Amino acid sequence: MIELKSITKKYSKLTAVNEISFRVEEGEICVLIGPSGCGKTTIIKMINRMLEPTSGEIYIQGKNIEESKPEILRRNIGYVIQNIGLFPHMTVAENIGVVPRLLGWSKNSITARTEELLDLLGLDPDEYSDKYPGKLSGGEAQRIGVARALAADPPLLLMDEPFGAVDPLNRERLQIEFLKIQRKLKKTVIFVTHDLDEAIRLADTIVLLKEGSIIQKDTPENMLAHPKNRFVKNFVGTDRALKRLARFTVADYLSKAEGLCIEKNISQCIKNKRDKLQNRFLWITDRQGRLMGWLDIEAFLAQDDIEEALTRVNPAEIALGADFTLKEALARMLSQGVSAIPVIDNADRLIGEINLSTIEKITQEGYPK
Amino acid sequence: MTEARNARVDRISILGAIIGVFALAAPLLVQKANRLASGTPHYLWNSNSVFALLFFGFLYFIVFVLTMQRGPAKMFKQKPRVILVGLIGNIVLVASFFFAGSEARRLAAAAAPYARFSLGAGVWLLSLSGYMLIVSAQKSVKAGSGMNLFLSLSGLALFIFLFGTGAFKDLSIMQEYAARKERFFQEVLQHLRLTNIAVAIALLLGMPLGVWTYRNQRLEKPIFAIINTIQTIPGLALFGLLIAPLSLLSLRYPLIRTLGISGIGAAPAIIALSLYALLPITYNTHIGLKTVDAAVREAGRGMGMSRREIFFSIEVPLSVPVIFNGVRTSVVQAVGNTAIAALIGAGGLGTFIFQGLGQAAPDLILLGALPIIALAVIADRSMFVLTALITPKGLKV
Ligand SMILES: Nc1ncnc2c1ncn2[C@@H]1O[C@H](COP(=O)(O)OP(=O)(O)OP(=O)(O)O)[C@@H](O)[C@H]1O
Ligand SMILES: [Mg+2]
Repeated sequence: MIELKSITKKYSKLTAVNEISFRVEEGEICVLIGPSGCGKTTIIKMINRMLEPTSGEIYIQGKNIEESKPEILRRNIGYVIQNIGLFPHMTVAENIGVVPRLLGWSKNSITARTEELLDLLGLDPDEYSDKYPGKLSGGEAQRIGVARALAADPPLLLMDEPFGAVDPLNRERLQIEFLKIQRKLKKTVIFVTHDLDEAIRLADTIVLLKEGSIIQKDTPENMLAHPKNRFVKNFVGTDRALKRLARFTVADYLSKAEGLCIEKNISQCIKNKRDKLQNRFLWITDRQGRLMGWLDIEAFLAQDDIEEALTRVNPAEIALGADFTLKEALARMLSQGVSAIPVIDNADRLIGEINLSTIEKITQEGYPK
Repeated sequence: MTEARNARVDRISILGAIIGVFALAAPLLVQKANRLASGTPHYLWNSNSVFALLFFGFLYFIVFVLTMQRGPAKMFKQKPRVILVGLIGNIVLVASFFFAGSEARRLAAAAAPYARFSLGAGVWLLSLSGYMLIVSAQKSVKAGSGMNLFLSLSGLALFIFLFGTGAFKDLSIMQEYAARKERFFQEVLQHLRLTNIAVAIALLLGMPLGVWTYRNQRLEKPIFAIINTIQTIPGLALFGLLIAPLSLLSLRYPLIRTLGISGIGAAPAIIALSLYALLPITYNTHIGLKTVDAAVREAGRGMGMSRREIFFSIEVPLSVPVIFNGVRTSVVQAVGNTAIAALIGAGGLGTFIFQGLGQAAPDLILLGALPIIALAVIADRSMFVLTALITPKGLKV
């Protein structure tokens, strides 16, 4: 889809980008990562011709980008700039509509597209369309930045630290949403970050840069399992086994959860099942299958009083969604001192659980799947 | 721009009210037997107009109550208090002239036919007091809002209305006016014409110059050095400097002469005035563009906007408030500077000022100076409103 061939960019003395070559296939997310000043932004800007390389060529869908007029080229590449850069004097809708307007779309199709994108990014069009950027929170502004880049439905997306300016919690949520959207849209994405966790979570391929050169280009799994040299090893850190867990989503490693509906004749059920139950604890749901809490079976058998043995919980606090990563699951287990975490769907219904033993198995295997 | 958030009656209004109270003890009018004789003062308290004394006393009492943060004033919210103070300021401003006018009428009926009544220190101090109350109130009212405009101009409007009804006609300044009524309006028009043409030229020159210096960093220093130097030449000197070359030109080239351009008159005045008006416009255009967030400009470029599109749909709208602030400064300055134009025969309200200076006739000076102040206030306020109207909505937080 896009190919860089020995690209070099020199500023008077400094070589910001040095003989870089790589290609990104259709529908892939390629993450450029490296310390500040290693040339990430420079590479991105050469791809949409905001900078001209000193030497080398770039091909998009087989066509040398120098054959296109820069403005025309840019209108066909989605671009999220490093500092968001929403236009403060334009409403959210106008911001998103900038490229479609440049491309001469009709007013109606721009409005329709804007609403579609706001929906896609989880923002209510009625509420947000007419807001000005000055009134948006950091996370909302980043979402609008992404929506603006997606507006004209470009096949290629350049994202320069698109989630850089939000707190870690919001950033994680944005990453999850972005992956969901990407699964639907299948864009070719070049994504810049200096957050390794973000790279591991999102990338099909990671390109690790240092002082303008590629040090290692690999899948996240490989980079974590086989760092090429000391620099990479230091970069990925001593906790790479832990980091690798961020590659796996809870949904793929669900175990069946033993859950009982509180409405049923619970005492009888437990007594019947007793021998088959391995755990001391049992998830309890309501009639709709929504997680309510857990039951300490031993305490129950000792006293025969459900309320005594039942711990009621807020599902959002204790359970995980299916799109969380195993890394988050592990963190949750460690912080709560448990070896199993319930997993729920959007409506709080219990759909399974994730077990410490599963996670252990994965960290021990070299490459699962 | 000022914000309305911390609306509160502040110290300026207290000071204004104190000045006003002292002003009540100063002479309201000075009576002279003729234009040159020395005068006898008339005071508010020994005039028949005890009512006036009570009237001002009552207004200042209210201002003092409103400035208190405890006690009976607590019944009112801060915003209405501020507005009330501003309103009182306007009333004081007009009332001081009104009472002087009516007192002059009463005294004139009994005095010798050539007696003159000029405005005493009391009127000026009361106006200053009223002005301070208005300024203090205005700071807390959103710039460009209807209320702000009302506070700025209601007194002035009432003043002009009273002027029309002849309420001031026994004041000596009005006698100067009555003697040259036609001339007065001609000079007001001429004043406006000079100011407007000068500012228009400064706009046509200054805005492109601002854009140009912004685009070529290398030009920034030399160009601003020149414009700054012009600004520091004293007004009269600049007019003088232009006389020689323009006279020469008009003598050398008959065409220029037939256009009405010569060393004195409107042409050198307009040139000098536009040169003065140039700096705020050029500078603010330059700064306005320069302070547009680089990320926003980058975004525009990255979206595929051409240079032209970036200029017109990003850089210009985002720098409009700053540019218009510069224009406002230029206009207000130009209204004042135009007074000097009279010295080289260009006319305008300065004519009366310099005549008055020549004849040691303070009333004649005032006939030139007061309308200039009024014009400056009106220009300032209308530019404020225009700026508020034209500022993109997203920039007003
Ligand atoms: N216009 C320029 N002139 C000279 N040097 C430049 C210019 N632009 C960038 N550089 C240098 O090129 C190098 C690469 O810059 P670049 O912005 O690509 O880094 P980056 O990897 O995006 O860093 P960050 O993570 O901080 O955004 C840096 O050393 C920078 O100082
Ligand atoms: Mg960068």
